Amino acid sequence: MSFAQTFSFGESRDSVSRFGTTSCPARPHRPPRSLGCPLGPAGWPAGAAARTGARCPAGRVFGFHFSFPGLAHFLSHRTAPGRGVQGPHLSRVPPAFPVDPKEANSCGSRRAKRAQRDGKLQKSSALCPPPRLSRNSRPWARAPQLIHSPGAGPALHVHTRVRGGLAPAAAAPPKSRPGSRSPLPAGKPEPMALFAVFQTSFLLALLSLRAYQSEVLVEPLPLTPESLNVSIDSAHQYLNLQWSVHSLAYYQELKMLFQIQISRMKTSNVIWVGNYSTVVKRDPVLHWSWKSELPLECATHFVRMRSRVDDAKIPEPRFWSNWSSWKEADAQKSLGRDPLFLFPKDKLVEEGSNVTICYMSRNQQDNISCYLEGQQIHGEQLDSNVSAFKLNKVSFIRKTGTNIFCKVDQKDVIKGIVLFVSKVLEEPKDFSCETQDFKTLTCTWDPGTDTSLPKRSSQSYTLFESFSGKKILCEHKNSCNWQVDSDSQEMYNFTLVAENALGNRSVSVLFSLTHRVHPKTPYNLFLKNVSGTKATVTWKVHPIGNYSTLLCQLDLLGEGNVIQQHNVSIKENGEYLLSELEPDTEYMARVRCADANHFWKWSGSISQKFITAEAAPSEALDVWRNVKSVSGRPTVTLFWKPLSKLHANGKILSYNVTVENLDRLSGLEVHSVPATANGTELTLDQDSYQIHVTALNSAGPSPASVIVVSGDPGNEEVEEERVNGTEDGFSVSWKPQSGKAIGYVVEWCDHPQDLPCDLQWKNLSSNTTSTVISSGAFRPGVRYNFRIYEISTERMAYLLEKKAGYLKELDKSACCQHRIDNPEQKTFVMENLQPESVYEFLVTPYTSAGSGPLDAFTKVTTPDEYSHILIRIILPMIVCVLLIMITCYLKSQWMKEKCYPDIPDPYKSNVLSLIKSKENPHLTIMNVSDCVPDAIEVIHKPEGSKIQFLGASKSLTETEFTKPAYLYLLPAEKNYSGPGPCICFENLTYNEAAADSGSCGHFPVTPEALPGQPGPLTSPENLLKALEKNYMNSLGETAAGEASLNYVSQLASQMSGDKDSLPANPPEPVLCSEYKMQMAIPLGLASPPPAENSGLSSTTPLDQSEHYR
Amino acid sequence: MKVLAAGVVPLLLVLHWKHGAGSPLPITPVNATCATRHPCHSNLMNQIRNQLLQLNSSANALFILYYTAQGEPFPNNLDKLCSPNVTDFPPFHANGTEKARLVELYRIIAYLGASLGNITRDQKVLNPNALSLHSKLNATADVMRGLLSNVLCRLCSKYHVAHVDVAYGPDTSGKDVFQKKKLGCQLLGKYKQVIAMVAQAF
Repeated sequence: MSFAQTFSFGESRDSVSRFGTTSCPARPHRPPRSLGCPLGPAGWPAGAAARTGARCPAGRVFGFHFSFPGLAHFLSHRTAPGRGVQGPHLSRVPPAFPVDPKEANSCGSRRAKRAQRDGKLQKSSALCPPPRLSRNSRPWARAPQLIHSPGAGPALHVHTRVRGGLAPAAAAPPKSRPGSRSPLPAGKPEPMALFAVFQTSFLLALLSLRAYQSEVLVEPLPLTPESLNVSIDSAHQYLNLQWSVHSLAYYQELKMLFQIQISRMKTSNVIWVGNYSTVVKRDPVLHWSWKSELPLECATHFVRMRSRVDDAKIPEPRFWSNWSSWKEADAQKSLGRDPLFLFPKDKLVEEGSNVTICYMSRNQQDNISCYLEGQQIHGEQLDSNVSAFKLNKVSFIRKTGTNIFCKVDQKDVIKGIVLFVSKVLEEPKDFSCETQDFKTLTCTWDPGTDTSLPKRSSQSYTLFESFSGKKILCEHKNSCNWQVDSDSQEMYNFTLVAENALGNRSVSVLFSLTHRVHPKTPYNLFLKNVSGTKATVTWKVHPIGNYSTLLCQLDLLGEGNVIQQHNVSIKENGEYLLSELEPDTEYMARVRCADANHFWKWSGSISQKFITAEAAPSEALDVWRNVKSVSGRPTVTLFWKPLSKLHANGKILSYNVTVENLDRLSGLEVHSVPATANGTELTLDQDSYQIHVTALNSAGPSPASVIVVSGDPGNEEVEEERVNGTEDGFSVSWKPQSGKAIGYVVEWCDHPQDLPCDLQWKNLSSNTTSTVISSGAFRPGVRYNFRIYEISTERMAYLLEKKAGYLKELDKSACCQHRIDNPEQKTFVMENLQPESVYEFLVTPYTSAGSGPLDAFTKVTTPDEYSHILIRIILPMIVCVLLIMITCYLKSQWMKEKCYPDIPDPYKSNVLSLIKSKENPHLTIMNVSDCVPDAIEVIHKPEGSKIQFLGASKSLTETEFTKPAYLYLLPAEKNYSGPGPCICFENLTYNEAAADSGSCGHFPVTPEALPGQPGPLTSPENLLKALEKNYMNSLGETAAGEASLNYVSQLASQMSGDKDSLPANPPEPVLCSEYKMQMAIPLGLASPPPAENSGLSSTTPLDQSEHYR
Repeated sequence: MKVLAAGVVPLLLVLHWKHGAGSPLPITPVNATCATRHPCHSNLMNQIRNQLLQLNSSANALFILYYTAQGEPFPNNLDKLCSPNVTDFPPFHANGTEKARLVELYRIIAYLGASLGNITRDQKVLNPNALSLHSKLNATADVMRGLLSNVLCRLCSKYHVAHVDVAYGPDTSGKDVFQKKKLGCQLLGKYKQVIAMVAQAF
């Protein structure tokens, strides 16, 4: 759905043409010609005067304007000076006073009534007060006067002004009535008056004569539309106009043109001007509607109109009437007080059309946003509180409509409408009508898209026949049945009208009934007298009419193809003899019919299958023989080729082989061979035999195939020649010998390497000396042997030549051929292939007749010899590794315990209990803050000395060997003796807690010293308590880890040359320059040091003074 | 004796003759305030409670199904379009007597039943393919009909209330489509709200 970028305030003219109005633009505005309302002359008949004077609105002077200025002035003294007579045809008499039309009307009406009552001519000046000037009136804009000039008559122009009808101003002769007031001004000389009267009388008489001669002497004046009423049809956005035209006096009907102006919001904003032409009859009430694109609720509309006679009966020129007053059409008054309105509601449009949506807000301050399908749409503001959105070429979204809603920001107000977009109603396609029985016409069509919507049914179809004038509403969407009248209407002109709520589409078809005959499907199709070559087909058809002949088409199909086609003209029953059929063959007979006189459509088809009877095989078997000697007796193997289906003429039941000894009278020897066999073997003696071979089916034997064999194999010593193979096969040629041959036979084996070798032969005529032997079984690299036999007149075969050759000689990569005898076998494993070699494979089927054609070879490269071995090894290994990894992951805790158990924390050793028991107040715990890194201690580890301070029994001398070298990082006083800076080396692997705290609280522990030595961890009471608790807990852990080695972190003493300061006990810890070495100590020797977690050491800082006591 | 036979016996007969002795007996007792076609179920209140619970359990799903089927802007503007401000909805006082609560329940179910009928009718036209919504609306209406019958049975059998004045919601047949959708959404929102309260009160 596209949204409009522009909004047009104008209205489409399409809506106008819908109502039959012309779409031409409004006539250029020009001031209507205004005529004065003439007064009746003196002595005017009361009736005529009343008709004229009474209808005259004030400000328009009725009057007769003559060519004589004096008379004109006399008769129309209110005519403006100098303008009373204008031109030969048309006089413009401006009104003396622009007046209010209402007042004028009432005045005129009163005057007319009074005139009628008094029966005398009324003078306007006497009956009506001088018209009051209207502020808005314009002299030229008064009601236009339609003036008719009666052609080339005398220069007499009659100006009448009649509202609502034609005023026969001059139709009646003027008469003077006694007692009427004289129009002569007082004080005029008498002779002049007489002259004037005479002149007037003469002219009036002339006028009456002219009026009598002319059919129309007084022409109708413009008929201003009256009682204009405007109503609103919100649902369809129509402004319905209703107005009337005053009764036509002298015409039954008159064609009139109405010009209509429509304004929006204010009268000056004219948005549409158009004309509406219609024939007005007596006392008509006219209706006309205008469709607004903008919903009418969103804006007030104003309508006014004027009219003009547009009838050929009234010669030109014609003039527009006055505009009617503006009529207001306001639908907003009935809307209520809701803060927001959205229109149009439930609008139904056709896909592709344009829709204008508008909202109206009560509060101009509100910020309103509108959405369609989740997207905000932007419109154009028509007014301070009215905006409009034009959706161009709306597309179909869904049948349930599309919600369009507007909401007031920051208020709980949402107003919405649902727009229904219908699919475009399509013109019915393929509309046609036909009959099957001349009783019912069935019309069918393709309805196209369904246009149904909620609350709106789909399109309906109506069938209208113009000749008969009948119309029916079709029950189905795509077909309709029309009853054919018994009076046999020949021609039909159907119009199919598809109609929905938005419009209609129609399509027509004109035809003759007899040209639209669609016969019913034939029935009762039978085959009778079916022989091997002939069959009779019968069928019946439904009769159509009494005189109709049907043309039926009989098709004979074999294996799906039409073999024969016959046309048969029938009335009711059809019959046809099919001939030239093949025995024992399945056929299908198919019949369809159409009208023979005027083909329209084939009927439906009826078909029937049948099989012709069998006949004796039509051809002799192709027989060949192979004579060999078995145990000294010649053995003849007969071969024959199965008869083709064409020649078998049925199912072969068996083969008969009749053997006749030509040398001796020994009777016939008959062998019956089953139908499945393609040969037989006969053991004969050295005599000559004539062998007859026939094929038998249910109808009889085939012609015999005769061959003569002899026990003497003849000349087998024929030199073998070479023959070369080509793409087409082997080209074999020979030289005739006897010249009495009745034919030749070339014999070979398709599979010379196999047993049996699949003997093949080829019969050739006697005048042939060469042939090409081709077979699908020939393979390159195979040697093929060919024997050429000459068939003598005695039907004896003599070996003529031998030939051998290869179709194509191959190199060493020659193939090997494998024969697969099981037709069901679809796989074959080639074994003993070489790795990393290229092989080409070809599979071709074979039958008893030979091999099939050769396709392209498929190239296969054998893989590396070890690749599969690698795969067999690597894959299980990968799986195993994965399994192990998964197992390790799942059993990680177990693995940890088994493989790398936790290093026992020295601080959790049993020494704690000793500490507790001794309660040595001199124990100190090093605080991390005590450590000031100053030097790196590099230990020079001479050979033979592995462990420092391992036991208390080690001497100082030994200790000296392990004297570490120091690398001072920071300048330190040489004689520094206090607890100087130290460097901590930590192995985080073994004590995370200590590492976290950065504590250097690891001490070298000797197994001997621990039990009796006060430990280095003498701390305040609270610390000892906490330690005790942890140590007691750790005892169990220690016990559990007895089997493993314990790693003890040790401190290297500062050893800064001040050996004397060392305590007597070597393991005395020096809480400075800690060097932690991980040592493996046998469990029996090592006791867990009184380690403490970092929290304890960090939360219980000790005074530095306590370090060295 | 003859006099006795001739005068007294007829007199006695006349005195013992009752008006309408030969006319059919009335089916309904005169003093009955209401009558039910079938005897009420013994465990009627429990059945009513179960029906209320059943309605309550499905009310939210019905509400969601409804506003989803209406398309935008309904699902995202429930507070503006589906707020349960139904003006003429029958009141319900949870702390009233059982009789009063049953009467109010009767009015509510009658109101809802009629409104659901309107909604079902509208939705079959406006959303003909929303079969699950139609099914849910029909199922709810069916339960309401049963509930209404049970409530009436209870009122009649226990409280001898034969007649309850009921009011119905506005007919939506003349409304525009969007307004129909909105009114239906408001009603179902109100239904979801009220049925929870009513089910709890029973």
